[in-house]
Amino acid sequence: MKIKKIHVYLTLVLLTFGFMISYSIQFTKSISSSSSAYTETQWEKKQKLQEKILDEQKQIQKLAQQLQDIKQKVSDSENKMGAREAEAQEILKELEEVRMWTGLVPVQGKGIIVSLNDSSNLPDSANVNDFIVHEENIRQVVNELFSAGAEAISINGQRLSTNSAIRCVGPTVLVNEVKTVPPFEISAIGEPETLVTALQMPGGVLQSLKEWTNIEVKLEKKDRLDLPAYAGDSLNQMRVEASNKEGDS
Amino acid sequence: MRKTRRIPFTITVISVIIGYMLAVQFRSYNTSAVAESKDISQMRQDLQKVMEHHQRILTDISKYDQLLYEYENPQNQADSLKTMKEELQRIKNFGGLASLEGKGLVITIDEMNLDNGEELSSLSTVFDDDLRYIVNELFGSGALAISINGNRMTPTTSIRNVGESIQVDNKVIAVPYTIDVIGDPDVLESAMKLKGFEEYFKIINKKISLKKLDKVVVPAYDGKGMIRYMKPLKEGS
Repeated sequence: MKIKKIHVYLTLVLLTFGFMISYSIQFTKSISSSSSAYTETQWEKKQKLQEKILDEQKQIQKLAQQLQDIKQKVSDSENKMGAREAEAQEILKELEEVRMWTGLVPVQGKGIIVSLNDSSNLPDSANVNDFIVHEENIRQVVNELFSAGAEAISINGQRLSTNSAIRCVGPTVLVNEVKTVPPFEISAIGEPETLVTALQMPGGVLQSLKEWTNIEVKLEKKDRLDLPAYAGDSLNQMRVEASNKEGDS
Repeated sequence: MRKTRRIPFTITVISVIIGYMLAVQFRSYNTSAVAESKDISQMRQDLQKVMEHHQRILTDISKYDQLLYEYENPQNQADSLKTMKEELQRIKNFGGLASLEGKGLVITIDEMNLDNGEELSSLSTVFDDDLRYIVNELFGSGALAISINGNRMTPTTSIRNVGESIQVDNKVIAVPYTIDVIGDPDVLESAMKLKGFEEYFKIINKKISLKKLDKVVVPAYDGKGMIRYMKPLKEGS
């Protein structure tokens, strides 16, 4: 009797065991083969996407240069007209000023560079959010600089204009809808002393950044800064005009 | 007796093996795929942004090409002067130096009616960041012109807390805040809703209302752009 009982047990257990092993081998096999195929196509997709992005960026660079050349030609022929007529001369002066102010032409002047960077010693345990630069930190600094009399600002080569937005989509920061990564270099044209004083004011932006975050802030005064032009002033206008017309008809 | 003690032992050993196998399987099933597909959607987003950038520059190029053409092929002298004036007006509209009207959205932020006389806490203040955040979202969603309580946003506008109040370019504004926006009303409205501003302002006892209108008027900035320290960057200087 006893011997039989053990036999039954062992048979059951070994059967189950054998089944499990064979099932497991098959299962892992199927997964590993499918997942390696999966990653292969994933990898290819990534490669293609990466190439496309790089290609677009190259074209953008060329087009930006082209746009700059055209703008230069435009102001050349405006200058010619200004030389011919007194009235054109006046308009020309105003045009030049508003173009600088709205960021449609590249400008130079003295100013400061504020660079914001993620903290270099990122602890594993603490809240990562306190150690990286958020879009609102950039907005705070920009706002303070304008309020202190900055005339023109660009962030990592993106010139700010009227409708510029500094936004966050997932983990990336977009300035003028263009992806930027830290360190964020905010170049501002204005009187360097005034700008620095405003930022360093007690209870001011730099102090609050120090108190509430762990990001690294650097200030640098510059005798000469070159800021690029903002591109994209016409697309929005066209869209809004189109939507207004649509409503009229 | 010895044989019955072997059975639990066998079962223990087998259970351990099965447990181990399950763990291994679970791990091999669970890794990689998720992280990688996240990467790809991120890259797709990047690509989309780059393509939008491309589009913006192309539109600018054709805009300025057109302008150049009009300058170089004028019907007569007066004509090219007119073109210059038009271009100046266009930039003034863009920069906030001229009033604009068009379809858009009117946002008001006001005190919420508290029926049971709840005490207003320090939580109930709207800060400069809140307004900056809204303006930023609106421009990011394609707004063309914005004013807050009649103060037009310009390229150099600052919104900041000074003491208890908020100043827009050194002009004090107070509750209720009215934000007039020109742009596609549906897009602007959905951007506001998507970001959850309603819930956010509820926390600080404020009511935010959105009104889509066919005609919104945004006034001109009543100052002038200050230019003291910058000059145009000339090629090769």
